[in-house]
Amino acid sequence: MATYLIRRLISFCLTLVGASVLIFVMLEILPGDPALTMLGVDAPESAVAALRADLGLDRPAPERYLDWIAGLARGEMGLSFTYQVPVAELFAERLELTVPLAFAAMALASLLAIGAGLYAASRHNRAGDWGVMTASQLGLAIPNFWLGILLIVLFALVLGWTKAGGFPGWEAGIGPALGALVLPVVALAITLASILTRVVRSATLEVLREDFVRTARAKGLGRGRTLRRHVLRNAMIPVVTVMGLLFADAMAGTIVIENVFSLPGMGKLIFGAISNRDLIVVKNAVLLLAALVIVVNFAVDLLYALIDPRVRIRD
Amino acid sequence: MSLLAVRGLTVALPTGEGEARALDGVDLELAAGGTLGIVGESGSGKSMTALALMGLAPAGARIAGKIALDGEDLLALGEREMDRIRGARLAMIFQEPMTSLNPVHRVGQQIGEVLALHRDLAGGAAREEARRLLERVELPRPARLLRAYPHELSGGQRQRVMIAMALAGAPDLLIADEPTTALDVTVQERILTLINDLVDAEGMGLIMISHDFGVIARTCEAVAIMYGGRVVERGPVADVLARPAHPYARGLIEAVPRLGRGRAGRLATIAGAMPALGAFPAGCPFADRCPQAEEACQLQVPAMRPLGPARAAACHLLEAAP
Amino acid sequence: MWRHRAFMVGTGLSGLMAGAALLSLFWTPHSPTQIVVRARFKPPSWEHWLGTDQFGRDILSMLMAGAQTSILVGLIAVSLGLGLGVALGLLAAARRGWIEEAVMRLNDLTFAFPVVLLAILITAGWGPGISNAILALAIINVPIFARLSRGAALTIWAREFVLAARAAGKGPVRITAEHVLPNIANVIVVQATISFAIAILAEAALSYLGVGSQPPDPSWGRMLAESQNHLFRSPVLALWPGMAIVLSVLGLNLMGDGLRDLLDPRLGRRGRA
Ligand SMILES: Nc1ncnc2c1ncn2[C@@H]1O[C@H](COP(=O)(O)OP(=O)(O)OP(=O)(O)O)[C@@H](O)[C@H]1O
Ligand SMILES: [Mg+2]
Repeated sequence: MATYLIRRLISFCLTLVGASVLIFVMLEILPGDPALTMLGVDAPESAVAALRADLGLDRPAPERYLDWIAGLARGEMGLSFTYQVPVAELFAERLELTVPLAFAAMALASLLAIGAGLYAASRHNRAGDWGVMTASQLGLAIPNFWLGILLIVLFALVLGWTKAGGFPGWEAGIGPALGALVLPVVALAITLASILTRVVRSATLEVLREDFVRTARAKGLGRGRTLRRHVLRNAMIPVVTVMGLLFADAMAGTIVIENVFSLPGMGKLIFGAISNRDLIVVKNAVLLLAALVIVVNFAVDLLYALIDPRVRIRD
Repeated sequence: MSLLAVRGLTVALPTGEGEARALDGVDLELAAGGTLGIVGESGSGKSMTALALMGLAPAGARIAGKIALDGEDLLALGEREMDRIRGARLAMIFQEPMTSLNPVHRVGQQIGEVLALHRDLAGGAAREEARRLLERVELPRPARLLRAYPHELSGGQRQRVMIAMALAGAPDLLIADEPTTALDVTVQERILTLINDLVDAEGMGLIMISHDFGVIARTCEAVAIMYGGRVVERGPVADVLARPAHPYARGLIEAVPRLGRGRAGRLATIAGAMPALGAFPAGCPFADRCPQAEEACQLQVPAMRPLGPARAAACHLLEAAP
Repeated sequence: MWRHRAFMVGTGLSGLMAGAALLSLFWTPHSPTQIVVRARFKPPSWEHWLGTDQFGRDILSMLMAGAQTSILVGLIAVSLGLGLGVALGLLAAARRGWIEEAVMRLNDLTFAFPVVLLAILITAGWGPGISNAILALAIINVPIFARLSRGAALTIWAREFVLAARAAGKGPVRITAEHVLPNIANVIVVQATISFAIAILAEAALSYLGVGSQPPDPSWGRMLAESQNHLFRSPVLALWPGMAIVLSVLGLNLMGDGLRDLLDPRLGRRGRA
């Protein structure tokens, strides 16, 4: 168990460092002069030089990278170039929307997928299985942002049940705030659920062939109880791994969906920052989102050890 | 009335083209507290017989015949009624102890499940009973074992846990499908002794399945020899061993060093291999491999002929007992 | 092969998309880019089968030309990712050791960067453009193909006919070219089909967000983005491009699944020695 944890922890830290290096290289080294990127090629040379000095760009890249990381370690991400406020403040507001959105979508997708996947597996090769697989095939092909637009057309324009987008903020009360998130969550969850359903189904089918399932039936457990008590948890072992990987998609999907529903989250912030060439915001925002994905996957590794006792000694 | 009476049990499995009979008209008889061995080569239908008795034949199988447990026809029962019988009156242990236990549940939980299901035991009472069962199967430090996961146990220990689980429902009949095949020779001996002792002490009936006539000779009073999904010979073990009637039975016995009467150092084996399901000859299933086969053997399926009290064999070359 | 229903439907849909793209190279009913102020928001008619958009452009023509963009992006991105990824995977399998370790570590890194995030990075550094979408997609595909081909190649390397070839003194390059590559081609083709479908989805998303193809290049994703400004006036504008995406992606996915079914049974059993 201890060695497993230590190995996961090391790999977790390495991935975090790798992600930050990748972001730094992509934004500050490969494109050339970040000051020029931020001000545009036709900016006066004096302004570029001033910004360069301001951001400390005349220093060597490794030094700048270490400065960035050291700042992060102290909880400082610098000032937004456009808003001139601490980036951390900007993020705090946006994350209140983005993080619940991503997690709610994952939760809904997992619920749908486990239900549909178990159902399909228990009806293997029969009509129910075929129906679930067809639906998931369709769900895989529907872009989440198009689904979002369709939901807006149906529920906001045709039925008039909700607004076409926007977010009143959590201050407006939990009800209205959650209400504004229902459609975005559904739009996000469908694609995720389609992928996950297939994983649940095939994992379940695999476990159903195991000897211990026959043992459970031989003990006198009914089909349903065998499925719930013996099959489900074993099938969850591969499913949980895929859920961790899918969280990256949920995060990316959130960025897209925020644009569909005009939600003031990280996605909106990032695209605003791109058009304003606010590299400082982009750099830290992308790292934050990537780090979130990495943390979730680390958590999944830990969860894995809880579900499967064999992991605790293996490895 | 006998504990178990099986008549004409037939299991037809769907194949690419039509159906194939994994079991074809199997008859078995077992008195309460009696012990019956089923022996035969790999693929002869031993496991299929056990699974059919448990009501766990593969999905899609078509089952015909009659399985009477204490006079009650199991094939007429619904799924839920069968669930109440499995684990309580009929229990089974399997060939593969390594994979037959759920890897993510503790031993205590897996035994406790049977106690909760069939004996309404829960909490401390269930724990105490599970501990007693582990003691019963001669596992050391049972209290600690209850908290162990299957992967922490050896093969022999897992098979003992399986036996404890089977005992937990206090069944009338225990079916053991090659319980020692996957184990080391030394462990095999001890597990067989344990099963025998337990069956004696609890007064359970036992069906012991093996491809090794030696195992059956050690553990059972009666034997049924299977080939190609049929019972080809049956009788008291000692009788069959002394005077096997069916050429296949002779082959099986000669293949076991301690039992074979062949000259020391020369172990006979049956020539050829058992055909795949659906590829048996039209007549006697053994005809293609039988050293004495005649023309009639290829044409007609031999019926069971009585050969004296409780003895019968299905071979064209036999004269029925008067 | 033609009896596999999903494969047939998939190939049909994919063929439809490819056909529309090819045809649009020579002919479209109208110009997909020409603005005709008089013809704004026209409903479907004989003149404009699917109607016109807010600039009076013919929807059908835009969809056909949009297929071009999707296919182009998918083709270039998947080819780049496949080429580099398979090369790395084969190298890792042939050499093992630190090369393999490095390839697998890179793999671990990319899972944290979905295409959208990567495209954002590239766009922030270099400015928006279709080439960013292609680059991001290519990069994402490298580890996918690397991991896949490494795994498949390792099983081939363990087979008898490879051992025989090694015993006969053949070098790793020759063995890879003669034995490994032909035997793992199946899985790679299947993955390429699936990756192509994902690329079409991603291109649409990126163009929708404004970091993919730029005006006036026709693109399904941007058509959807523009349609959203006119949902009240003409909600059907949001319908057609979405349908085009769904049918193409569905077609490719079905084709990929079908190919897997049709090719897989041979894979791993019969080797070309
Ligand atoms: N689920 C199944 N589907 C199709 N055929 C099966 C299935 N299970 C068993 N069979 C076939 O039924 C026949 C009898 O198999 P069975 O498992 O009962 O043999 P066995 O006597 O237990 O052999 P072994 O000693 O190998 O355990 C074999 O030909 C086998 O291939
Ligand atoms: Mg068997």
